[in-house]
Amino acid sequence: MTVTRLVFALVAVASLARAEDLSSVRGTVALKGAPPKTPEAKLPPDLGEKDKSFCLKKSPLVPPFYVTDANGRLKDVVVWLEGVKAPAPPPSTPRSLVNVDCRFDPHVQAVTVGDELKVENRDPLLHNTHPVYLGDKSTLFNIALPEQGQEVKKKVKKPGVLKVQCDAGHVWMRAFVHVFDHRYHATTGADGSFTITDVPPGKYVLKAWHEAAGTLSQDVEVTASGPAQKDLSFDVKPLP
Amino acid sequence: MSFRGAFVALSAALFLATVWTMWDEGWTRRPWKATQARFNALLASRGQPPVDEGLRQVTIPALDVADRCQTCHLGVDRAGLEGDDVPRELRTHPRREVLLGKHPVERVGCTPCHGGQGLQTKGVAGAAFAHGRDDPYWERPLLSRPFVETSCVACHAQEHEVPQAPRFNRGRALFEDRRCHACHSSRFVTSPVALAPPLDRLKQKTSEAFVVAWLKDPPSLRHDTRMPSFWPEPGGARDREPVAIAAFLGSVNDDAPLPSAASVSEADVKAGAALFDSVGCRGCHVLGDAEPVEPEARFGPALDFIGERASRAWLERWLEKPSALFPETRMPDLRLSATEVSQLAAFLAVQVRPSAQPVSTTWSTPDAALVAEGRKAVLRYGCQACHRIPGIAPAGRPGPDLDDFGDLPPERLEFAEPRPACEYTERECWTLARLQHPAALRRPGLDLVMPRFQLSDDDAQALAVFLLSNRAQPSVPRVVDEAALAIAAGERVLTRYNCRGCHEVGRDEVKTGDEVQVTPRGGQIRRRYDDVALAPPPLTFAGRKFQPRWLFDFLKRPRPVRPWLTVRMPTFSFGAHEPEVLARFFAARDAQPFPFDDTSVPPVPEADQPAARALLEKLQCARCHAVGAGGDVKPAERAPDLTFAASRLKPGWMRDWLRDPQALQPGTRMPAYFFLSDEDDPTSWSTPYPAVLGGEVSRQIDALVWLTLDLGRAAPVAVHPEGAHR
Repeated sequence: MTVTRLVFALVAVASLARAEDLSSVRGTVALKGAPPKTPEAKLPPDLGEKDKSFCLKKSPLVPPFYVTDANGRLKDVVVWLEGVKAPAPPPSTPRSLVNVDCRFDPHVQAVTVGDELKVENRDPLLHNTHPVYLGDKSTLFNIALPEQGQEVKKKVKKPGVLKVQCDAGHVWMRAFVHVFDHRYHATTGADGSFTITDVPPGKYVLKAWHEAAGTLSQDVEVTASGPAQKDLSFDVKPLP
Repeated sequence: MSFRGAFVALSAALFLATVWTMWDEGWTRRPWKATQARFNALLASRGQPPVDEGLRQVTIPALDVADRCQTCHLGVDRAGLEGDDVPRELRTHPRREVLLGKHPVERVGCTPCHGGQGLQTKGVAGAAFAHGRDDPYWERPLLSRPFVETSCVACHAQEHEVPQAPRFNRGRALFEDRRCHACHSSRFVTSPVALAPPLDRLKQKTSEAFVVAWLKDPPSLRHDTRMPSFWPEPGGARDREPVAIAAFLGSVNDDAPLPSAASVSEADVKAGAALFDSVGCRGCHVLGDAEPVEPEARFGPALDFIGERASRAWLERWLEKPSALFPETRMPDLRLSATEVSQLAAFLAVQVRPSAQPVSTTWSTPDAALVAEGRKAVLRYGCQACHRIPGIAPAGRPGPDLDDFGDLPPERLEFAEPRPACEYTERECWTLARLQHPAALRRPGLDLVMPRFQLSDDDAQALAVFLLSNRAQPSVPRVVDEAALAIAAGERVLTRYNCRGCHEVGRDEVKTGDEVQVTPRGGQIRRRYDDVALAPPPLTFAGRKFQPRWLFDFLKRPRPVRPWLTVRMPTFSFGAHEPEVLARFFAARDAQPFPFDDTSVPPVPEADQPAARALLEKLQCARCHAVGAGGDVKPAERAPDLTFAASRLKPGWMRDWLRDPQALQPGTRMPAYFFLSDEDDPTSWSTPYPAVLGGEVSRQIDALVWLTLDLGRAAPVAVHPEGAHR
């Protein structure tokens, strides 16, 4: 018992000592070129009347592939660090994925293995949430939420990129959930900025992913003296 | 010297000789004593008590076994001596828990699996003990490590796969796959030979030049072919006989040339390419695959350069109905429309190497002498064992029987000089050489016609293990229950028709720590579909899912269940009993009753029925499922008609399905309505409707099952027109 306590104390002291050194990586992501227009949805012939009258009033129905601000900064880019040795244990954070106005919100998010994803339906019609790993096409879960206000919590256990779809005829609905086995990730907001916090000093590879523009990577060095600044830019790619 | 002195000297000499003999008998002539001493020293170094010294013998009269192996191999049945630091002969038996757990040494002994002379504990003629490797008089020297598997089948012959014997299993599969049993019998292979393509209509299909080139060196034209090389070395007969055989085949093929196929456009080729990717061709055929593919996808011939060997007109005829041209073919009928046939044929016909042209069906007028020589060669090589050839009657197996191959006496093993390098016993080395370098065993006066098969070193070893298993040994067949026999028979049909090319049947689960790695057996074609729900469905739980009657009928005559799919269940030319064998197989896999099962469900109490019907409405099943042909709901393109359920599905499966669809069919579009309120507690099932039917998940599910089955009885059953696709 005493030994265990001692070990815990040592670990605590060690991590405190390290916490003082932790730094961060921040920057912005820009898009070069004019983004193509997101095409209209091809509605399935058997889409119910109720769904038509509710969903088709929402604009835009299809989530746009590129969302930029006035300065050409790109939203919904997942940014992460690779090569962090002895990473700190990831905190378990509650996350949510909401079916609202016949769309998933948020459109793109990054989570850590062990996080709990709260899936919710705020629309007055049946939604179905079906995340599939892009790599091996395996399904994480597939749940129906027939009632407004209904929610189900699901733990995410495997790293990878999930594409979320709705199989109940809402073919336009899509979202992405990046699952990491570490905590060093962020998603760009409306101004295209990101901050990855609590990074121990070292040399890493900074990677960025966008659903249409693809993946970028750059070397980055983090020192204890202050946050590392990295600005990235994607070239426009044709829509998938 | 006095008599007395001589006597004393002689006595002393005799005494010394006796002592020396005793010492020699005890140590020099009993090498195991030293081994036991080493073993006890090993135990002592680990702080374990020593074993008693002495000869150890296991006697099993029923197996005619008296083994002394454990006199030296003291560690075999003792855990903890697995490490590399333990001398090999003293180590724990590999996979001891399974192998010795299932075959206790005191009941089975060692030699029934390992071969060798169980009683021998000394070297021959004063030499060091070598397990008989140096003794030409031992008929059964100790088997080399990979060949120990040759013994398993003495008891395990009836099982589809011998547990823990991957080489034997692979060898048996290869023996059938390469059609060895077209020429040779084996006591373990009773299935009929899957014939190679018939050699009629050759003039419609291909060119004479192709036939000659193909005969000379099949793998150079199609790397994955099962056709062996009859003339593996260039020059000699290879320059003459293939030409003669082609001339002979030309002379017996007198089918009228096919009318040339209608012209096609670039758009047809493109449409054919899309069809090739989606209707299911890739379950059995590769074409332009850069990445390595699973073996199931190599079941049929690679079609990379099909346009160089088959004319478009012939391809159309073939795709229309394969069994019309080749009644025994395992290629099923995909029920393609005329347009689809012409598009697919157009696509296939342009699959040629950049330097090559699509095949032209030109044949020369054969010369009579050449034709006669070709006919002689066909008969000599036994081509008719695998191919139907016009003008040549099918004959029995042309090669020697291999039922007792493993008992071949050592004096019959003739090696050519120099002998190929080989670390195993004579018999094992000879078998390997025979398979890999048949020409090396050729000598004057012995005309070997056995061709060379394309075999990797591992394949050759597996096949050698299988061949050497063919022995007239005393065996104690393991009693196999009916379910295991049904599974073994079903697996053979599954292999024969390559069902796993499209369908997952079974999953291998490997547990490492908390993680369970699940590897599906078969069904890898799903990788090619963006949405796995549009790929052929997994059949791992088909026995729990389908009513046997429905499955049997569906196998005989597939009717569309999911009319929106592009991939379609083809019509197979099953043998008379094969659909039943398959239905029995799936039932046995899932421990289901066969052929009759109780599919009745107790009705929902009348008082609960309104709530049950309201629940069915709330869950909105009909958003995705069609409900009968008469309903006002459009036939959804997402889920099977619910009215099929009453005749197709088993209620037990429906209950499990409603609770957790992903567990039964990973990737399915059917969502889960019920959920675990605590994911770590597998009993915490919850419903989104706690006010309905007491909020009990199982009551709600029972009600849904009853209502769904009732739909099938009440509503007019939707039947998609017969002959429709998919």
